[in-house]
Amino acid sequence: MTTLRLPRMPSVLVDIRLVDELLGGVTAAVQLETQQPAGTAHLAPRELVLRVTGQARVVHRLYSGMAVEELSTPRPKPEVSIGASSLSAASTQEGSCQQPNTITRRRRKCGPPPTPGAPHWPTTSPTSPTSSVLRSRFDFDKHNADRLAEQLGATPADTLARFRRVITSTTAPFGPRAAWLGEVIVHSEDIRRPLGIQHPMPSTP
Amino acid sequence: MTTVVATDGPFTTGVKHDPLVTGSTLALTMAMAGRRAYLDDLTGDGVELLHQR
Repeated sequence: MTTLRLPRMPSVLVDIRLVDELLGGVTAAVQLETQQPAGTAHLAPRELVLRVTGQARVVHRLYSGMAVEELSTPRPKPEVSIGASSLSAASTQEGSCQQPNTITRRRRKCGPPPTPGAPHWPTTSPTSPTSSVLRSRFDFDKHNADRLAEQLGATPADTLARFRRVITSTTAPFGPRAAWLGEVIVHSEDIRRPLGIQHPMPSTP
Repeated sequence: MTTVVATDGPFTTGVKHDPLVTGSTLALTMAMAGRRAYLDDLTGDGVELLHQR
């Protein structure tokens, strides 16, 4: 049994192909399970859990640049880069867009395929906070360190440049907007005030 | 309880005729989020009440 867990965002194209190692061919998702955690965590995205009978590995993925998390697989993490096989190379070509999605069974619209690895959720973690905390066994320090590591550049200057690139981004996880008052205003002010940084706030929206 | 009125915007909340707390919207927000340092930026009779919490 191979289990894959991936975060799901609204209007994210999910297109994952699995190759069955025994049969040597592509297998569709045998079982698709949707998990909707209780609405306690305002950041909690819904998740899809794929369970595939037998040994399988991801050979192709196209969805919002977020990492597929393999929860249980007896082998080392396989290579999942696009174009790793003729199978995935063929499936990314334009013109294949009328092929039904192996998971959603929907036919996606024609057009350029989404760019794998593109930062669609750039200012927060690409990993589901819920699954991340679970994976960290409720060690929130580990959770924070892991998610922070995802956002770090090679150097402090690189990290700063990464954040500067998303200053104008309006992308945000869904959830109650009032919750972002704390995330954006209060926490940034927590940093500014000790450093003596004044930041004029607009008095009207 | 206090009456909370922003000096730089339309924000107001609380119970009328209670002790007054005024300040910038940001200072009020931070004080309501539990940041005591921002109490120094607030004025009004109600600030003393907030210090006691």
